[in-house]
Amino acid sequence: MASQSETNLGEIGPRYVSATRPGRYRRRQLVIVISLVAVIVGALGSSLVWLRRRPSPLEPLLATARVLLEEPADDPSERQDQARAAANRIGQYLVASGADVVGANLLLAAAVALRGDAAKAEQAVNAIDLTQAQAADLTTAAKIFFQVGAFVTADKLISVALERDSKSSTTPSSSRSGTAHSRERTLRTACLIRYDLGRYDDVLSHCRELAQLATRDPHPWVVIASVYEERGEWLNALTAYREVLPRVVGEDASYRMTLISFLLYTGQVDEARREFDRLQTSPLAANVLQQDPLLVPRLLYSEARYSEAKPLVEQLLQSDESSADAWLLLGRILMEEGDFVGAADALERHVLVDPLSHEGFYVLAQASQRAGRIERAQETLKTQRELSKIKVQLFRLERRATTRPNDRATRQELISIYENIGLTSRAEYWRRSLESLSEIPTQIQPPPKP
Amino acid sequence: MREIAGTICLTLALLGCHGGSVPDTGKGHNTPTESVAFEGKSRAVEKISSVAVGLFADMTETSGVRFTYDTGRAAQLFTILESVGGGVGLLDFDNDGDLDLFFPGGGSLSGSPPVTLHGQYVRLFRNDGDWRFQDVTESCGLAELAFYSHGCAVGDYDADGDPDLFVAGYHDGRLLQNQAGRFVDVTAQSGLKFPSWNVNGAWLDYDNDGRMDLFVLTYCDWSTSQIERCLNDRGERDTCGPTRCPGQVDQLFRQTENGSFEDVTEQVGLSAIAARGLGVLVADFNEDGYSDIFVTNDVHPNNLWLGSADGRFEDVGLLWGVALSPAGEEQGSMGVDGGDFDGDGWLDLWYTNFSEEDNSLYRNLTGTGFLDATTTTRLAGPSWRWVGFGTHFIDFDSDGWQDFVIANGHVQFSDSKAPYLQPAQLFRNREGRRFEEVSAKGGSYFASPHAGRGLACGDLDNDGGTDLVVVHQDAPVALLRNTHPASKWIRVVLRGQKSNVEAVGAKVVLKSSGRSLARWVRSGSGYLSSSDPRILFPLETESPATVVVTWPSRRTEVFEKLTPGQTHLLREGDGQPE
Repeated sequence: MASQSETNLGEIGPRYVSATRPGRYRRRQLVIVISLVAVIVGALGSSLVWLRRRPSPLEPLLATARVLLEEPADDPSERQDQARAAANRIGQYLVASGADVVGANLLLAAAVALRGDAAKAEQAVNAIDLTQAQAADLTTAAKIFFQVGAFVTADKLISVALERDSKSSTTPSSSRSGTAHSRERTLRTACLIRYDLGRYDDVLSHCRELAQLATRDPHPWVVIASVYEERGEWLNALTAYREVLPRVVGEDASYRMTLISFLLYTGQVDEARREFDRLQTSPLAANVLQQDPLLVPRLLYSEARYSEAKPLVEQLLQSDESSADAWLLLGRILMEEGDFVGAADALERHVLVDPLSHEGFYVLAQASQRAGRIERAQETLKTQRELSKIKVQLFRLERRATTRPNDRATRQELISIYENIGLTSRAEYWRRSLESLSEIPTQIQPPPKP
Repeated sequence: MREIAGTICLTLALLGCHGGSVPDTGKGHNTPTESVAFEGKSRAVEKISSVAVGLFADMTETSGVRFTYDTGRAAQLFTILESVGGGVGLLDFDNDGDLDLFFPGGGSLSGSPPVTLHGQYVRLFRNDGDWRFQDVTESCGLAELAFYSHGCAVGDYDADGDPDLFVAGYHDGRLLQNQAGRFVDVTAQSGLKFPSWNVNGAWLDYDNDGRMDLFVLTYCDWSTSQIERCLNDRGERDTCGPTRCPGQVDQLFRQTENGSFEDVTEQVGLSAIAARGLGVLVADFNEDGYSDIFVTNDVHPNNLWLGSADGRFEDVGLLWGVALSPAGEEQGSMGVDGGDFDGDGWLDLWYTNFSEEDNSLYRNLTGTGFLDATTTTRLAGPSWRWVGFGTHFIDFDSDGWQDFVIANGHVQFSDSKAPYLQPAQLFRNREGRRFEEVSAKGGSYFASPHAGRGLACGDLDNDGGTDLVVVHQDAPVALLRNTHPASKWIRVVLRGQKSNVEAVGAKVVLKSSGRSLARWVRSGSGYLSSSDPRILFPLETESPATVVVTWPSRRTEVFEKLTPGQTHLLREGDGQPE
């Protein structure tokens, strides 16, 4: 009952009125004491909050380190300096008992990695409770580990970063908030790391999200186009790349050149010609075309302007006899002109430079047969069929691997085939992808408590 | 390309190149016996009405042709059997001067593995003129004919003057002899045996003995026990693809003196290759007087079997450059035809392919090989998304340059990259140099998507314009009238004497107004279908025309003073030696 009367606000006054004088006095004292305590506690609390909110004198140290590590220089020695400077500041921060110990440790590990000791740095990362780190620091560290070739750690870090800020704003960049900006940076880094690991479905997902956040940015579309290109989905690649040019501000010559290449590959010759004519109006056209000297002869070949294409290819071959693509194009041009002996000779050069070109061997077999080199034609055909079988197998395996991010057996098979045919760079690519699987967490979980 | 979009570029794109982005601010009747005058409609009326309906008017609704090819889809088993589809045969079975229509029926599936196949009845529609057709299946003796069927090959194999039929199907095939307009199944006494999955046939005279032989096209070794759960790229159950189904050896049956057939597959060399055939074209590609056979295969190199004096065939598909894509890769090839796209007098080759592969056009290098012309003629690109099946060389605008028609349709129901229903396409030939897609001017049929398969071309109303019949998967067939028939034309029908009666392999050249138009008597062609065997030439003037025929016997004859607007029967030996 007592508690009932105490919670009944209507009865509070009469009870006090009826109270005895000494009792009223004690109560007044009690109220004063309680009030004072409340004021003191409140003041202390406010002071603590104020203290916590006030920039620590140590914060600039960590902030400077973050800036140094965020954009590492291309020059190795300069990068070393950056790493050293960042490590020093983080060291000072930690010695002075800065608050963000997890962030500082993570950035220190990144600096160590940048300085060249990736193994040690990876060990350090494994000891950090990443779930307590900020997404921005995780992204910075992921980027550095990726740059130094520590792909497994890089992927691990970016996985945590993606998880950390997945619930952040997806506001388009026209009204970008800090969290959206952080998310963009995380997505860019995730695209980069996972593209290199052949996790194309993830890359497409990240880049599509990125394109929604940064609506005027051409780069997510460049990456989407590249993924489709790798998969051999040329029409999708072209469709994605068509999204690039309208988003480019200023000089777009290099982008236009890439678009022309996609157009030629998908047979859109007329559109390629229109884009090429536009490209030529750019002051940078000559420079940009030097990057792909076969673009013009390829366009002319597609337009059946063989006599114009031929001298350009021949000129190119005079300066670079090792261009397999140029020898192939010359062979094709000579076939169209009816010079089968010349074509066969050019194509022999092509397969000499690129002994794995099943396309080259196919055209060479036809040229050899028409040039009267029957025996060579048969021999070439045999090689072509063998190469073709391997390549079909590889294409299927690669496609399977990119759609099944956790498929170890397929990756192992790819490594084995590429090593057998001498394509070590591709073998290495898939080895990296395989190695990354062992560490990729399927779900982010907090570390066990000590 | 790969260099362009390499990792370096990616690095720049993803990490550093923000400077390039935009700031964040916000269709009367003619008898093909000598010359019969054309009784046509007013050209002016035709031309005016064509403006509204497009290049082809859909006549299906009022034609009386009600037919749907049954794939067996209702059982929801998603077998590869269902994906092949059906074709149509254009034949004048009653010899009344116009083309009638024959449709293989397909079938249905039921039960658990091994599933039971139930054949769907074939159908025959008689052309009564003025775009009206009558279902005469029963009166013509075909009412009981039902087995899981796909394609049909029309040919007067008994040389009695009326067209007979071969119908191909799953581990079955029927030889239907036309006996004065009534078909009799003579398969049992013919000597024909079909151990494989047959999809179509083609009549030819491979040994130049004057008798028609039969090439039977086979697909793959699929059994009714092979019911698998295949997933598409969305992870949903969908039609199973061909790669788990080993290819089969096509068959060649030689007709003997007594009219029966003997299997000569092995002795002629065809048993050397087992592949998944879907399209066949018989013609004389190198003009040596022997029929050659081009076979399109599904995910396997195509075969170009060159015929020879000793009766043996040699596959030169790879060496002649028509077996693979220009990049040396296997394609999913289906429909096929031959014609002279560039007006150089040589038989060029054209076939349709799967999606994400361009269809393929090859220029004949004077009978020594082929060179790809797909890209330079602008045919690369516009069909990349579509799965091409039925196709044909067709001069739909009657300008003498051979154009193309394609029936598209996917095999998978919910592929993420291309829909099941796809639009048919028309490509106009611009003087042999390039093709321009004009599907948008094709009329209502071309404006909506279909699951296209077999397609046959022929002048169904004998008005000088080539019309179309298209077969779809589980949907009604379509009859399309050419609204732009030639105002001046001649038509020729060849009848071999020393050569085979159908003159398969003959070359016909029209010489008119200083221009030569070369056409060929082919067999097979298209997809699972048989088109109009008559050859139609548009003319530039009303002057009598001259036609030069090179018969399979290698005799070349000149037929002069052919009156325009008529169908002329050209008999071997009746012309003037050239």
